[in-house]
Amino acid sequence: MFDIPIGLTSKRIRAAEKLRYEYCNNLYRRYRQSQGIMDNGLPTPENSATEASETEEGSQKKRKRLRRRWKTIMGESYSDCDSDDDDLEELIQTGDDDVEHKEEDQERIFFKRYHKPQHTFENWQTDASKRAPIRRNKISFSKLNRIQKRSKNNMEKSFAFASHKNKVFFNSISQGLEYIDPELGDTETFNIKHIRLLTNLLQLHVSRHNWTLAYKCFALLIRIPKVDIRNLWGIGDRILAEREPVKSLEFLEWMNSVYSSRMKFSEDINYQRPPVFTKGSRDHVPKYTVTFLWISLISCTREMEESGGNDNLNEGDALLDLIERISELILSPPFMEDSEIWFIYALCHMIKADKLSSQFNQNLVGSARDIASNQVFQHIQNSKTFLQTCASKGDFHFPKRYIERQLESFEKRIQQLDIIQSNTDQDDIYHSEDFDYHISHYEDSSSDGLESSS
Amino acid sequence: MNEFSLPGKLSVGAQLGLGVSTGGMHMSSRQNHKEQPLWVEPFDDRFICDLSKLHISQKGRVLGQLRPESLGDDTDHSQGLGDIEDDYSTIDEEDNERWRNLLLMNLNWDPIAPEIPVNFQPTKDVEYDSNRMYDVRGVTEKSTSDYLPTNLISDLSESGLSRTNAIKRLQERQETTFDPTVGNLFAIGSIQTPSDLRNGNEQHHVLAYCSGRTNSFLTLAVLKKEYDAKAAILKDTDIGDPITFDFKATIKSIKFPTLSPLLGRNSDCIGIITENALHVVRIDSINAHSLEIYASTAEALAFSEFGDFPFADMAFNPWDLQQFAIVDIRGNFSLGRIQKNFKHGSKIRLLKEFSGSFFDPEELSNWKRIEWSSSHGRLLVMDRSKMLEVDFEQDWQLEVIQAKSWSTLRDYKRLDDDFGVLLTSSEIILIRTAEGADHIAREISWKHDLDPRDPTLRMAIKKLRHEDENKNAIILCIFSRLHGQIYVHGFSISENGFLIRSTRDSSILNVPMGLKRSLDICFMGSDEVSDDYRTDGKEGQGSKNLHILVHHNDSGRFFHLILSDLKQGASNEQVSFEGARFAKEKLRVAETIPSANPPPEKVSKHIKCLLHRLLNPKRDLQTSDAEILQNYGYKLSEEINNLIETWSDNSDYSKNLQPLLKDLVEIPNEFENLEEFSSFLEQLFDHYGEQSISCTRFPTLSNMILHETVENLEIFHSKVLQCWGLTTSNAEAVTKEVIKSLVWSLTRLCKPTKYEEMSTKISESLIEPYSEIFDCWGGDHVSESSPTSSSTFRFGVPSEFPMSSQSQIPTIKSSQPRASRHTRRDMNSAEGRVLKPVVGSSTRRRAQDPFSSQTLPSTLPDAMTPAFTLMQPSSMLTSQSQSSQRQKRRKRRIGGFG
Repeated sequence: MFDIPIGLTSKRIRAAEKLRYEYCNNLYRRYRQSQGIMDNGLPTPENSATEASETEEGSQKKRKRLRRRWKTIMGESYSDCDSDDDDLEELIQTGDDDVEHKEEDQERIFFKRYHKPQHTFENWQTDASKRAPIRRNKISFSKLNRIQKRSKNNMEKSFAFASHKNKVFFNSISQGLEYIDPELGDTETFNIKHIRLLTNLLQLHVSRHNWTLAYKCFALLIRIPKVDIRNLWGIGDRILAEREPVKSLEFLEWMNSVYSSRMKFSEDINYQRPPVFTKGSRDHVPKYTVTFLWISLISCTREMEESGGNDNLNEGDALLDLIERISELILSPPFMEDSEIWFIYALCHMIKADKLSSQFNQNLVGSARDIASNQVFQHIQNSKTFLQTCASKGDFHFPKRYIERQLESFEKRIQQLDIIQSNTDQDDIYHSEDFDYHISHYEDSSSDGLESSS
Repeated sequence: MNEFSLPGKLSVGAQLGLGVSTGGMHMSSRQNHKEQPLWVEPFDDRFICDLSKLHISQKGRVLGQLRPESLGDDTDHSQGLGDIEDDYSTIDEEDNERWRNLLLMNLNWDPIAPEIPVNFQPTKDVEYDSNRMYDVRGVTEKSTSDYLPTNLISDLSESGLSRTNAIKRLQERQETTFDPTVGNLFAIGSIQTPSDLRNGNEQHHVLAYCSGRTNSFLTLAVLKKEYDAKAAILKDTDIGDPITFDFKATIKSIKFPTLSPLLGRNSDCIGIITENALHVVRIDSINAHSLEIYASTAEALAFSEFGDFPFADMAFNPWDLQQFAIVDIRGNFSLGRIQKNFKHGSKIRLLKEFSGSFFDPEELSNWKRIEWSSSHGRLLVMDRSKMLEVDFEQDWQLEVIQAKSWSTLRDYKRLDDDFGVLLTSSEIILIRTAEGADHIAREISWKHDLDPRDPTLRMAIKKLRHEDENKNAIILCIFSRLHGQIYVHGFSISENGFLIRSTRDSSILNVPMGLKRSLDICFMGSDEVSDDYRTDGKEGQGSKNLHILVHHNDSGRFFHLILSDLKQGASNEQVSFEGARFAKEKLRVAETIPSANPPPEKVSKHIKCLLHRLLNPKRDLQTSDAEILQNYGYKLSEEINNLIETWSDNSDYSKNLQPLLKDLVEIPNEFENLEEFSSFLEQLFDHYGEQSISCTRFPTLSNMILHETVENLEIFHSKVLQCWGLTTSNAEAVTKEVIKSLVWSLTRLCKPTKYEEMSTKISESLIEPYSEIFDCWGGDHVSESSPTSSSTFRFGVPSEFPMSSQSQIPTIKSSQPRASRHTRRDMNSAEGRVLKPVVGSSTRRRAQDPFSSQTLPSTLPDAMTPAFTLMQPSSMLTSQSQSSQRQKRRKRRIGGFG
């Protein structure tokens, strides 16, 4: 019942897919032809150009066919044109092209028309400028039937060579039904059965929080040669996080270092598994890296909170380490282009500023005080610039107002301290500042809520 | 903390999965109060119920009965889930009935018991159910009505006989094709009739489902209102008398309208799509006390009035009670209008000005969906590979989702005016349909890890109000037609709709009673009412109960299940329950593999035996392994010798031809040393190999099990130990036991010559017509393979190397072929015919038998001696993997020979 973590494929499945893609391509071509030639009207704007060229091509082909027919009938006497030989050559060439065309990978032809997304499983289009008028012309049975019949005629040969099972497959999908493959092809070996059992057990144990058993399943599963850990890292991370959180971070770090890829994602390749959660590329930050950064940031702050901020040096280091690491990451592509990484970076600085400002020691004087306050301002400044970088990428939304207010409040803490210290005695400082802060914060948050909800 | 939405990529939103995390928001430490978390994460740890503790409560029950005949007798209708097996007790009763009738017939007596009228009631309390609800589709019965199977029609119209037969055969084995247009065949909806509105009554919950042999009847029944207030189990008396409509065509789906909360009322219509038309049923009135229901239908809208294709889906306008939308299987869609009153001959009208098409030639599946989006004139239409938003008021369409590559759409459910939930083959996506009425936004997604190839996934959805946290909880159930498990996941949306979060895990529930296929699942209760999620209030521990009705389409039964995350009272009870769950789970996993399903008792017995052996080693340390094996060897050889004798004179050859070693003599299990064991086996085999009795050797076994040849028992042992060492601490003992039992249960003895004798005997025993056929077949075989096989016969080289042997042809001396031809012809009568069945029967068992590979070369020079007949079959059987090696070896020989 669950997705098994290997690329399942067999000769039969591949052949079936090939049949399907070929049929789709044929349908597409026939439909376009029928649209272009038959009713001339209402071609979609972006397609009209290609359609026009195609019809031109079609008419040319028709002419050539006619000429060839004449030649067969009348023999060499039909040679009133100089370009006859050229035409002949062209004919041969186009014939060759056709052959090549047929031998080409049908799946690749299919996907030439579509973009393969990396960030999501589907292509999401929310741009209002892409809106088109509603297509009003209905498809009728006779037209569809014609298209289907022609496409089927076109693939008589590949259908004849298909296996028995694939013929059933093709017949059912071409009638609009869907095909359930109980065995997923012929690949039902013991190995796969084993993997399937383990996957089922793994999911069940995770859903019931039996972490020890789940861990065992996971450990067994990833040792099977065919299994790619990139298909399983999420669930593994979940199990480790429950058993020993430190290991979970280590695991993610390991994933990050071993499977970081800066290759360009090539759309030509017929991938078996989607890259969304499993892969990274030049323009796609792998999901495990993002998860790693988020989780390590969260665990940093949790540690800081638990230790109560007394042990200044040690846990401060964890956050600084993270900042260091991200600053290295964002020097190179996929990360430097990814707004989420920049946002995490900004958030790191924000948290650091928060931490420092709340621990600001009012007893400090002179240069030590300046250094401390400068540190805070430095972090606030960094945070602001990185947020700006993030916003400039244009595909990230975050509660901007809320963050700005928080940063302002950090600044105020220090400034207020300065002012208050210059005016009043040491004893009163803390309470009044705290009180002031609470009032100002209350106003802040209420207005923030109003703004964001409007 | 509810006032802002979480950070995330605009086009993607929060993309979550098991262990996958994305953006959170840090709350400043100064405002961090005790109860407020430090981070606002996309995971909601205070979800309405703990999904991991969610289970199907033992209180659920079966509503429908398996056999309609048994309804008349007094079997207890209020039985719990545990004793469903008791349903079959009625079979005995039936048997009695039959015997009684037989007796009466033979004695020519009048009936002993007086004739009881059908509606007779012996006591007041017992009610006889004669309602359609318990109608069962006859699975095995032949229908007497004029139903023509589609296969027959296509057989008559086309000449593609073989094709349809093939489909039939496939369907017998496992259902392989599936009609995606079949949607919900069972639904619960809220209905408010006009009189209810006038009198200010609340809505009624109406059950609608199809029944009848071809699913052509629609049955409507009212649920009693108080059932959910009691949070108790649904009783039969809680369901009113059903009424039935016959649509004379298979029903594809049943749709209840859900109106926008702005209207503050419920509709009174139900939409039904059949194979050829759209019907709308209007509930005229419902009697609140007797739960009687009166309804009428409008004249059906045949699909031919709209276009050329059957309808695939329809939806009611949430803001307009009279308006609906419809889409056909090729993507033509249109709006339509229902008349206010269904007078005689009132019709459903289509609005031609509001129609369009999203036909895609590449989209093969018939699955189409239509649903209203965020406003009155805005619709979502989708097929498996895309989703379009259509606005009739501003006349535009936009392809919002294009799913051509990694995933396909599976289901879509409209949640309310602002949100919808989309199920794809890999994710559950919560969609915001109205962000300032501008465009659709992907808010949060959860990777569900269910099999992406399963096209039958659907979901049921339930919105609950979580009062304490000021948010709405959404619970999703995903179910499939291929298995009986329900996948449950939850989302929560804050009151103002900004903060959307998901649960950290999801849960998998097993529908009890071993139901595997064709389930329809519905949540009970209306969407907006939070009453049916209620705390039972026992000692402050809130039990969170969700009521689910499951309809099993094949048997027509209903199950009322209660999902709850209540801890089961005392702690010991909890433990026992856990254990029970684990046992079930094991069973289930075994069930999910369709093909290799061994008889469970046998396996469990075996496992018990193994465990017993492991736990109670009865070994006395005095006797060494060698001794044990030696003793065993003596006994075994005695037995084998006996066996050979019986072989030589026994006429009943069909039995005991390939005895297992363990069947001969009781096997010893006390020895420890595997080396000793393997050398023992080797000695044994070598010894009997000389007497031309072959055994299954270990490389053969390993090839069968692992698909790779492992030469030695010890190598295998160490390999397995490597793997299993990780899992248990006593892996060594386990591995040894497993290997031993493997060897014992798979090693067989056989005498190859025996097969020849057998087949000649069989062929001789055939009567005239069959033996003729058999002869023909044998003859054909020889003539077909004549050019290659004759050349190979000359050398006594098996015919599996036609290429290599053909190349050898020039080196043949002229006298030899003739001789060989003679022998072949002589053998034609016996051997030529015999050859085939032998190959068929024992190929697998003796593939790669070292016995054959060792002895073959030595027999080469006297290829035409009688020994040839013995060698022939075994050499035919040698597998391809060894062929290349042997080919080389043999080439050399042949060269020397020629």
